[in-house]
This record gives sequence, structure tokens and C-alpha cells, in this order.
Amino acid sequence: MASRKRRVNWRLGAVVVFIAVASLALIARLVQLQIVDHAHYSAEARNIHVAQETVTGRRGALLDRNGYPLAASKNTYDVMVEVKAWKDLSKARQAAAAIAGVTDGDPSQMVSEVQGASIYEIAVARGLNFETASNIRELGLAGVRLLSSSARVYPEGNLAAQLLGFVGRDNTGLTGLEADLEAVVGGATGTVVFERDGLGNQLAVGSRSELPPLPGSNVVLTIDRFIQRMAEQELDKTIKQHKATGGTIVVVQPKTGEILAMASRPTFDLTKLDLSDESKLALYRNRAITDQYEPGSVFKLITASAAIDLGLVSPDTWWYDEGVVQVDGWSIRNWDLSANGDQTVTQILAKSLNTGAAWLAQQVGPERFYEYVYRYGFGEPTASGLDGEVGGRVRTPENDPDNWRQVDMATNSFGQGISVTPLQMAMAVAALANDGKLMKPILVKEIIGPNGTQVSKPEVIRQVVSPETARTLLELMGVVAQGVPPGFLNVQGYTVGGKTGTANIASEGGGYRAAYISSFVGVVPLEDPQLMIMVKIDEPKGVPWGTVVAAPAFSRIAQEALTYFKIPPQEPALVSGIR
Amino acid sequence: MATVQREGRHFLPELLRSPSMPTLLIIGALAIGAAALVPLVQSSIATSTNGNVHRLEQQRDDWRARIQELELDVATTASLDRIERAARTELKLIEPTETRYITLAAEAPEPRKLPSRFLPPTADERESEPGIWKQFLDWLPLP
Repeated sequence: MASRKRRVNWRLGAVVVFIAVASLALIARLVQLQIVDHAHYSAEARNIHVAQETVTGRRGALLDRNGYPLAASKNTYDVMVEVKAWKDLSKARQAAAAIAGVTDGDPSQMVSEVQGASIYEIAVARGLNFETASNIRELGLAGVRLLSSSARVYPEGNLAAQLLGFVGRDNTGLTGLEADLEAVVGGATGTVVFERDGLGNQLAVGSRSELPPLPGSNVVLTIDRFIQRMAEQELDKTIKQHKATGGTIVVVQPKTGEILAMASRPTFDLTKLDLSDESKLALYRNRAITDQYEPGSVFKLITASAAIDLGLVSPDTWWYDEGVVQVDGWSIRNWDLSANGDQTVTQILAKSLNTGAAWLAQQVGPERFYEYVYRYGFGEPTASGLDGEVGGRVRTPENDPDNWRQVDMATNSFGQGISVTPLQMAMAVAALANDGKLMKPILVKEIIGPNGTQVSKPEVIRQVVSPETARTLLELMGVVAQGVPPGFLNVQGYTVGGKTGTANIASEGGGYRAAYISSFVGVVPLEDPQLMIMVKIDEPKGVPWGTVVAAPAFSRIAQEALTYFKIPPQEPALVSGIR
Repeated sequence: MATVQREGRHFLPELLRSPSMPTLLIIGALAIGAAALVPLVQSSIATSTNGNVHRLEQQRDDWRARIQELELDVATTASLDRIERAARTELKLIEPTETRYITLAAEAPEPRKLPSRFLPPTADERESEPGIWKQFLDWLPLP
């Protein structure tokens, strides 16, 4: 009886011990799950049940001055796959095949991407349009959801590609105005945190918090799509005709400083970007502001205006051209090696005499000459607001006393040995067409945001020369334009003022190489300038003269633009012309 | 007359006038059940409403996306390249060889206005200013 009782006690004890050990093990496991590994499991649970989505605000559009969108955003959808949901290979293949059937993607690539991912979810298709996304949603695949995204669209194609720039995959501006105006058009991202079901969809009764995104502002540019397109077409035509390597055309409203067109070549295809190709990086830059060049004879306008503004000469002042000017032991000669005898200041510009320009600069003197050069805005960026703008290179007795020589001023007087950007040159000539007032170049006309509209106003930087001097220079430009054969410059019904330029291109090792930059800057109508057009063609083959290469493009643009802007011709009666 | 008065005092059934314990328990259970059903119904309505809200939000987002696509379709259709292509190929137009300028004594047409989608929201779409009482209550140092 006693032994039986001991056996019972032993069994009971064993059960109690077992229960106690099991309880301790259970408690230990609970401690591990709920205390030791709390952070890990709570995070995992959160990942399963709670989703956080970054919502991007709609990026503002870049519009031309008449409201036509040059760059705008549209909603797109990315197909996101929960990695765990595609662990089963056969189910993953089925789902991938269904998605690929809608998106025309590669199902095997989708599966391999998802199964090789170490993150919670991954995109297997991006940038889908509304219809395709709707078809994906209708498939109702487990672990597959649509993430709203956006893509940049360019309704006018590659128009003003370098000026507009482009955005990256994260919708942030990388170049051009897209980058410069990022703070304005970019908006702000928002966040949505919500509980989701097994399909990844939001739970109807789950908790949800939302920080809404802010849409970007729409920006109205001063660019006119019609003028911009015409400038680009003329640039392409001229480059092809003269087998040139590139070029730039800038069209400005002199009275306001508004830029109507800014075209550069070579350019790139906005719709087929390949950022991995470093050889194409140079194509992305806006050459109107980043490239500096020696402007050549166009700069004689600046030299002549300084001399006239100081009262040293008038258009009728006589000077004797011996065909050569000696400066610091260097011989300055005319482009055609001519010696013209008695010449007026007007003839210096009309015949584009280098010797005459050097004489005018000597009359002005280096201190005042460079003062005028700076007053016109050379040697510093134009404050256009465009990133990457350079200021050009002006060597003066002050900034380079060791190397500057008198011959520098002599060559600078006819636009050699001095570097400017096309935009600087355009704004300087526009100042002459605006009673001597240098305007700040304007590219952004209006910013239309949720809280209203900001409008840019014309801003005078400084009075460069007196209005009388400016008008005198316009008359001289009119004389210069009259000297250009009508086959190269003929704007029917309007009087034109302008100046040609044909400049040698400096070589990297010093000196000049046998290549030229041909340019023409002009204003129309001469009596009341409404447009300033600057055409610059790089390295044309054959005849390099600005008259032959650049003036015809100016002529065609001016003719079309004047009609487009409904600027009436001088003659009030019927005017007709054969083109 | 007295009979009528007696019948008027005892118009409730006998069961309610002196309910037994089981009856009370059944009534209590039913009341508790009904009370428990209220939050269930509320929860069901809330779920259903939330579901509808989310569905409508989804529809709204879809329509917005569709509208954006259509806006861009319109913009692309109005692109200069397309207009020129249509003019040359469909309408068989060619570049003019002669330009005639005729001065007319008429007012120029109004400049083109920006499409409404790019303009700021109108006043009624913006958040309205808080009323005077709201401003007063906000101003008071209330908890």
C-alpha cells in the first residue's frame, strides 16, 4: 500500500514538474517574443498591417507666354509587388504573366526581380497610364497594388529642350528651368499612413493619417512657342546650309527684357534621355548662357556708343584710315586689308573697319572704355536667374595689370580678345534699342500658385548710354543694315538696324585657328524697336561672313515674328512683298 | 360605470403587472442583446460608409488622372508640330509666297487667356476666412 502511494506521488510530482517546466518555457518564450524581440516583431507586424506611402504633389507646368504647356505632369502608376506574396514560384509566375499580359513586360524578369529583392515591396512596372493601371487593378492579384506616381510630358516635343531641362525619376529637376525653378514647380511631398488587408489594399475601418502633398505652382515663361520654334527651325536650316557645328538664336523684347526665344544647337531629345551616356552631357547645357565667344565686329557698336556718349565723336566725325594701326608693336588691319582714306564714324561701322574701331577706343581711353564694357553688362552674369550662367572674360588694366596691354583694348574694340555670352550680347544691343536702358533679362513672366499669381515686372539694371546716344546708334545700325545686300537682309515693309560679326575662334594653346563665328544682331522696326534678334552660327564652312551666314536667318525670323505679333509696317497703306 | 373603471386600471396584461423571475431574465437578456447589437450595427454602418468613402476617393483620383491625361492630349493635339503636319498633309496648305499687310481701323482681338486649369483656384474654392465668432473664440485663452 505504501509503495503504491509512493508511486502515485512520484507520478504526480513528474506531472507537476512537467507542467512547471512547460510553463517556464512558455513564459520564457513570451518574454522573448514580447520583451526581448519586441522591436523586431512589432516592426514586422507594422510592415504587414501598416503601409506608409509618400504622395508627391503634382509638379507645376511650364507654360509659354500664351499658356500653352511646354512641360507638364500627368498621373502615372507603378505596379508594386509585396515580395512575400511571390515566394511561391508557380503563383508568382502566374501573377507575373497576368501583369505582363497587360503591360507588355517580361514576366520572367518580373519574377526574378521580386524574388531577388531584400525589401518589403518592389516595382515591377512603372509609368503606366490610367487605362493600363485600371486593367491591372481589375486582375485583383494578391500582394499587388498600384502606387500613384507622375511623369513629365512635353506636348511640344523637344522645343526649348536645353532651356526647359528635364527631371529625374524622382521628379526632381536636374537641368535647365526644371532645376532652377524646383522650389516653385516642385511642390511638396505628403505622406499617407494606413492599415491594409492581405491584398495590400487600405482597410475600410483601419486607422489612417494623412499629410497631404502640396502641388507645385504653374510657371508662365516669357518664351513664345511660335517664335521659339521658328528660331530653332531657322537655326537648324542655317547650320545645315553652312555645315556649321552649332549656333544660338536669342529673341528679346528690348523694352521689357522679356526673352521670347532662346535656341541652341546641338541639342538633345527630351523624350529619349540617356543619362548614362557621358558623351551627351555637353548637349544638355544652355549655350546661350554657358558658352562664351569672341563676338567680333558686333562689338564695334559698343565701342562706337562709348565714344559718341562721351561726346568725343559724332556720326559725321572724320578720320583717316591708313589701313593699319600700330599698337604696342602690333599691326591692326582691316578684315579685307583695305586702306580707305577719309572715313566718317558712320562709315567705320558700315564698312566694319577694325582700324576705325581701334581709333575710337583710343579716343575713349582704357579706363572709360572698360567702364562702358561693364556698364553694358559684360564681364558678369546677366542675372537671368539661370543656373550655370557665366560672366564672360574681360581683361582690363585693373583685373590683370601684369598681362594687359594697349593692344588688348585695340582688339577688344572690334570684339576680339574679349569673351561674352550670346545672352549678354543680345541684352547689350537691346539696351541700344531701349533708349540706352539695360534691362534685366526676364524668362519667368508669372508664377501661378494656390495662393495667387506673382507677376514679373520689367527691371532696369542701369542707364548705359544716354537716350540720344542710343538713338544715334540705332540710326547707325540702320545705315549698316542698308549696306547689306537685299538677298541676305530684307524685311519687307520694315526698316531694320543691325550689325554683322565674323570673329576668329581662339585656340586653346593661344592665338586663333582657321574657324569663325558668324553673327548678326539686329532690331526691328528701327523707328520703334519691338524685337531684338541675335543670330550666332559656329564654324560655318565656306564663306564665313556674318552677312552671308547669319543675316538671312535674322531676316526670315524678323519677317515672320513681326507678322505674328501684328506689328504694323511703317507704310500705312497696302504693303506687299514676294518672299 | 364601476366596471368600466376597473377594466381601465388593469388594461396591461397580467404578465407585465407581476412578472415572474424567468420573464424578467428573458427581458433582461433581450435588452442586453439589443444593447450589444447597437455598436455592432454602428460598426457595420461605419465600415460600410468608410468603404464607400474609399471607393469614392478612388474614383475621384481615377477621374482626376483621366482628366489630366485628357488635358495633356488636348495640349499635344494643339502642338505646333501637329498643326503644321495637319495643315500640310490633310489641308494641303503651303507656305505663302506673298505677304500683304493691310491696316484696318478695327480693334485687335483680345489676347489669348490662360486655360482655366493653370489659373489659381477661384475664391469659393479656397478655404474661406474664419467667422468673427470663430476668431473671437480662438482669441480667448480657453483650454
